[in-house]
Amino acid sequence: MKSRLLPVFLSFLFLFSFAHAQIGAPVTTGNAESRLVAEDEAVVPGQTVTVALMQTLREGWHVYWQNPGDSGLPLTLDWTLPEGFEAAAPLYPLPHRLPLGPLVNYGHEGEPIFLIDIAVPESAVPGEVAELAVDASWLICADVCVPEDARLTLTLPIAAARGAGNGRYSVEIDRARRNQPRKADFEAVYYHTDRGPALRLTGALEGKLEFYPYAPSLVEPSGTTVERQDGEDIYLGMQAGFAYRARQPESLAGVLTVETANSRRGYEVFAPKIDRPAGALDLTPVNTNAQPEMPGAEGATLPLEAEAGSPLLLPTLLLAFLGGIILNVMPCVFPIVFLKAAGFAAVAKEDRQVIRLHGILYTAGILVAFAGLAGLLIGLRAGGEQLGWGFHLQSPIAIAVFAIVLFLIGLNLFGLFEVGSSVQGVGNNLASKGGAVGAFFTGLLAVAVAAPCIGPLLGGAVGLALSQSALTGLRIFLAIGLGLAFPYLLLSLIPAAASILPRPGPWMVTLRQLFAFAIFATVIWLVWVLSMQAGPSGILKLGLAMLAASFGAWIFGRVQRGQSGLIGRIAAAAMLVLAVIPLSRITTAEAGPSSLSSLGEVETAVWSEASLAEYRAAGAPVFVDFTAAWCITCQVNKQTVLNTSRVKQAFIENNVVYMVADWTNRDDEITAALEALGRAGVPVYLYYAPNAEAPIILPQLLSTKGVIGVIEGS
Amino acid sequence: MNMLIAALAFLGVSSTAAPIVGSTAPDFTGTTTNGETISLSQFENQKVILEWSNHGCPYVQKHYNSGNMQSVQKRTTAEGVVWITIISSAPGEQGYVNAAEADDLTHTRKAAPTYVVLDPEGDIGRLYAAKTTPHMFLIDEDQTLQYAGAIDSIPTANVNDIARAENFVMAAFRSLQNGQAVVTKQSQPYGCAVKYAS
Repeated sequence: MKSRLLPVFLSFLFLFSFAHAQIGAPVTTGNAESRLVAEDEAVVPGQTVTVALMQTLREGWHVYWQNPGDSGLPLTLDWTLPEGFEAAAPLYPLPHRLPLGPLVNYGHEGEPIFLIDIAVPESAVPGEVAELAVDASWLICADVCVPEDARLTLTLPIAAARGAGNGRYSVEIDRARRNQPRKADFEAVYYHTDRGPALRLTGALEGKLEFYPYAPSLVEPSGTTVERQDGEDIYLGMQAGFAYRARQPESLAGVLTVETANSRRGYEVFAPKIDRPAGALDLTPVNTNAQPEMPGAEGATLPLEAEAGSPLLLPTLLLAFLGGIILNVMPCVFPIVFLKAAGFAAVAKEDRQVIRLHGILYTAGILVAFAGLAGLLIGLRAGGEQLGWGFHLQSPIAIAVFAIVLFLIGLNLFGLFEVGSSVQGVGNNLASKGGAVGAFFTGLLAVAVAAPCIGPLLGGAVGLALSQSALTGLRIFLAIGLGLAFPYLLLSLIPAAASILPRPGPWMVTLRQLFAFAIFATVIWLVWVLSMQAGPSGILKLGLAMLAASFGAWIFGRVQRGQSGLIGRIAAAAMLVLAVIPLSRITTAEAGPSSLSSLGEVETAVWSEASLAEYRAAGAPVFVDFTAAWCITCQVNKQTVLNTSRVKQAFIENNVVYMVADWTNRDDEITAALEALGRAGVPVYLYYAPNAEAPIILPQLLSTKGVIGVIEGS
Repeated sequence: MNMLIAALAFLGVSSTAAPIVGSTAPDFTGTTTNGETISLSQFENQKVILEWSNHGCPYVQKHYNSGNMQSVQKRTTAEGVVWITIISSAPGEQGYVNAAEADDLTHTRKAAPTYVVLDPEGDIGRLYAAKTTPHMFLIDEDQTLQYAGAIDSIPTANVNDIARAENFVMAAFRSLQNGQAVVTKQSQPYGCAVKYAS
């Protein structure tokens, strides 16, 4: 009796003492905590036990898959096992693409679990224990890399039969096992293209596909994968790595991940090489044969779409009017607001009637300019031209002329010469007339320069204006103009408001000169825009024109002060004519603007309908930036939101492709796309989530939070 | 307006078109720590070795702390090789140094490069698709790229592995010196990712 009970007693004791023996002691290295755990509580002679190396990585750090991609190193394990035990190669969890600057690595973040099957020999003696030890070393990286290593141990009892109980980590190990790449339920072959290997997958595959070859350097990790579908066949065209170029393998082996909204699965792919199939699709990254379509055109929700269908025009007009008021403080209108303020300061000492007249004339100038622009735009579009709002700034000559005019205004504010003698406010008839003409032209100028800065609210309104009948369009334009003029009109019409204006005095001269700097800032902007459009030779020509114009202005000033006579007048006129010559020779540079089109390490592409369709077909999230050098709102958004590290980080983490549609120079394809979106100008920001039907349209004034929120889908 | 001008600075779009072994090595121009401007093309009729480096990277340290890299530098430059160490770390990133710091590193590590070129914009690095530090390139007298890849065959950070490893750069250099074809023309480079400008 005693002899029969003893083994039972012993095995009880044994189970007790080893109840947690299947968990090895965790080892903490600089950036990770690692431990060995076993799936079963004991090992059985002649069977296989699965051991897991579980790691908890520091936030933001990653380790590498068996093919680490562009850089990095996989896990290495050097086992010390009892006699006869044998450890298989580790099974890696599903890899993720981890972009780092222009490089792409394949690796793991968070809590990766590596599974190792250990074969237990028949000779293992039940009742004894098996001491397992491994020298593990791995490379762990964030922006910097640290090689780490640890000796991990695990003591497992040897039992005659597998116990009923599961190990403490059996759930995690089971999940890790289920997340291992499974047998493919689709057919896979590969063939050679000029760019590299192309996979053809036949079967039901839905979701975002990524292929990770087991062997390094067969596929360039950072290269674009072109995905195209043809019925049941999905083609993945990849960029060759050097190992592939040296020798094309018999079969392309790796893991295909299929990601949907709520799952990510991996499949083992062993794709034998075949000859290029007859019906194979073209897999070059930019496919000019793609059907041009604006995939988001129908599904897009526009802020003003409701109004578009509504018979009530009034809300739209009101919105346009409010937008016009807001235009006063938009970045590119600001200097012109200054200019108008200078005008007011100049007439402040004159009687109320003059002030009222100037207010009305300023408004008239704005309305005439808006009517003219609207008429021109609507007329040209009726004639089939692909033009949008701000089109007048797409001509380098127009930009140069604006720059010269503003430059001369700046010189005028400095007092180099005078226009009429109004600003000196002598108070005679001529003076008020000169001031009146000035007020009118200030209005015209304000509109011309404000045009590219059509800000929030107005993008939709102008889009609507252009899509409606000519009359409705004109009304909307005029409502915007009225809004733009409104603050000053109010100031000039209400005597009480006008009386707030300060008394004239010597401070006016200082103010005028300060305003000149705001004007010069605008000139810098225009010069910069011109540099995008016309290149260095355009800048040279503008510089020569500025030289001639300023020289003419200086002589003109001398004539006005009686320091120069008839010859001076002739010389001044001659210099102004001379300034026109280089201006007329400015031409659009051959090379398109490039400085606008990058966000550092974010994957950047030039927008076209075809390449957008390409990226979307590949399941990549795409952010489209419709922009132009002359659009200040665009530049502000770019510098204060898009180009911040947080936003770039979000782009990178979510593998968002940043596509730039640059409208600095005339581009009919972009104009057509904007029109399809119901917009007539830039900026417009679109985000296409992977496999989404329609893009999300972001507000024209971006916020970091808003952009990240949209990208991360919250 | 500063903002606008700053926008001009963001020019580089990443490119991964790696130079192909057996074809002409792409020409580049860079500034050395002496302030000298050098181009690859001026070294026609000489062998050139390019070494991407980042002194903070453990894999670079493996080959410098052991004296391995210096030894390869000395043995090859003694036979007329122009050795150009290129640092593509962007400002603020690991391995970024100014000219004086780079020279100081050369001095303290008793390194023997012919030139150290500073490439903080990463232009040369991207041109060569330099992926890791170290990443090695051997260019022959006709400016043909003869080897690209790792320094040796054992991709670890362990100094003890150097003795057991096959040094691909020395092997390729020896083959060329003996008028033979390079055996291992390309290998997967290993080390830290090059810390390119963002």
